[in-house]
Amino acid sequence: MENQIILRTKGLTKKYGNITAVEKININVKRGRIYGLLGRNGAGKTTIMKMILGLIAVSSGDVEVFGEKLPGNENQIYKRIGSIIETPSFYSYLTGTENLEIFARLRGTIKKDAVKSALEVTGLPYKDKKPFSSYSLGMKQRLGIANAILNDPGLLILDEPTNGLDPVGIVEIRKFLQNLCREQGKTIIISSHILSEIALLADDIGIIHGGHLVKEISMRELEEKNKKYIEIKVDSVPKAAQLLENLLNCKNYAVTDKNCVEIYEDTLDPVSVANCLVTHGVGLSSLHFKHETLEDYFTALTGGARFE
Amino acid sequence: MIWISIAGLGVIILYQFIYIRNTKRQMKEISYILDDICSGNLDRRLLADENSIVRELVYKINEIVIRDKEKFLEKEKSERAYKKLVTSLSHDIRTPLASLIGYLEVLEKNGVTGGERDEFLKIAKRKAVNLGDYIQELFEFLKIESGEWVYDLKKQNICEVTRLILADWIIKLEENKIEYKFEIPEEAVYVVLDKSAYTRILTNLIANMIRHSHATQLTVRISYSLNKISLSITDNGIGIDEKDLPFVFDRLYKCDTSRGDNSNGLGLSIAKELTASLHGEIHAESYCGRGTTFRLTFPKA
Repeated sequence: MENQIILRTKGLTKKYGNITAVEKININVKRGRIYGLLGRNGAGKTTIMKMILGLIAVSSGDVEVFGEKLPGNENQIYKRIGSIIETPSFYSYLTGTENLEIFARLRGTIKKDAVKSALEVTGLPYKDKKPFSSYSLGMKQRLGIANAILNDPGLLILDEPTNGLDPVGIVEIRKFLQNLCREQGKTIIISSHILSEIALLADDIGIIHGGHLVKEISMRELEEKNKKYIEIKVDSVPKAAQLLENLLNCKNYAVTDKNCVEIYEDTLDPVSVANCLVTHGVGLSSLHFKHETLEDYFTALTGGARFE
Repeated sequence: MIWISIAGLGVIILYQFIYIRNTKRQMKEISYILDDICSGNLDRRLLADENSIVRELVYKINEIVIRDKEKFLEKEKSERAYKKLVTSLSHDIRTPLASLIGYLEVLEKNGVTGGERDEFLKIAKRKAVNLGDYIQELFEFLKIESGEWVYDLKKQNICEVTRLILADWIIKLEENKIEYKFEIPEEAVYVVLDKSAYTRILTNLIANMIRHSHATQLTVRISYSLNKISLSITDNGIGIDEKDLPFVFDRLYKCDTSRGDNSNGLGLSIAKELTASLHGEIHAESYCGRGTTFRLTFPKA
């Protein structure tokens, strides 16, 4: 089941008259992972999500969910997706519980007390008297999430779920989503314009810029790029290790391969490492200094546009 | 009269017809989803309308599927942990081994003399001993993971047991120039413990402190209330970064600062697993630059 693609788009394009909103988007969302759509406001994240959910028409291209083509199987597929697009809308004069009970009656339920447990896990009170109109923004977002998970769907599509929340609320929602993914194996697609938010939450990232998918990359690969270290290839690893410790006073390093050492000590500069090794008779075949930051990486990808 | 009866009968038949057709449709859909579940898709859930006669049945099936999914995830998780272990194992053994060989090579070629020679021998020995400890920890980790650890649970005086364990640490603490203070009650406080597991928990916490905290002071304190005993191990070291703190008990988690030195990311996770097996809880509190407290609580016997 691992690495199974749950959602795939091929050449997904949306045109409004002559204006192309998003063009030829190919995203691949793997089972049991959090996929983050990252892009600045107006990049086209919401448009992509809306097309996937059938809320707006697709101009061209394909969407495949759970291995089935979307047009034609909507009835079966949409039952298995929970979603929030933009701000969740509910009946303003009804309470949260009453609102969810309406949706439960419309869609059917998967267990007894489904409404109660959805409210509980999102930290909202069951059967309280407060109408939706007097909910805070944070509570509204929570109710949106409660509604999305009501039928325990395998896939969640959440458009900026932490928008408008206070810092504590953001951390709570982040933990909640991570828990859904790690402990319950849900697949989640979220969008955000905040790089740090996506970096903390997502396993895979799709970077949207000006209606194009400029990069699809896993967080692990990104972290690898983001690490700052000196990588050396030498003929004798033991000798190099001994010199590093004894002469350069470096303890923070790892032997990663037969001839390869990664040095994490940030007080060391590549030149002094190379000098020390070579003057003591270690054959140095390559030295690589890796020191790109996430921001640098994204800025380069989006042609200079910076993220928050 | 007859006509009214016939009309009534007609309505009933029509109602029955619709009812049966609806039920059939529902059954067909349930069967379709069950086929998908049978083929291994545990993300599927059955939906029941409020008035459906099969509602209870649907709920029960969902419960079974959800439970299956949980089991599946549990299995996947431990498989992932193993994979991670294997990859990090190669680094964790290679690195100290490489430098150990490096030092031995220098010694063998008589590259150093006098005081420096003694120093190199000491370093080489320390590295070998650390590797030995690492392998011991790894062995215990695998024993816990595979469920092979046999717990010998007995009611014991935790104060006495703790004093004995700490006594063995005094030389090591003095060697590392760490002042220590033990505040353990004189009276007997009983807890159901497995002695070797409890020893391993304390050993791992103190070893972790010596290895990473750069502390100069250590306080071990036991206090108890009506139904709980709590043990705290406090140091005045560098503390644990806020971003690392939630993960320190995760398997194979290493803080950035300890990536290169001889840590394997197993010690604290072993401590956590063993504490849980003794029905206890473990928490870490830390302030950067001011020190860390590990707090263990156990139910009183």
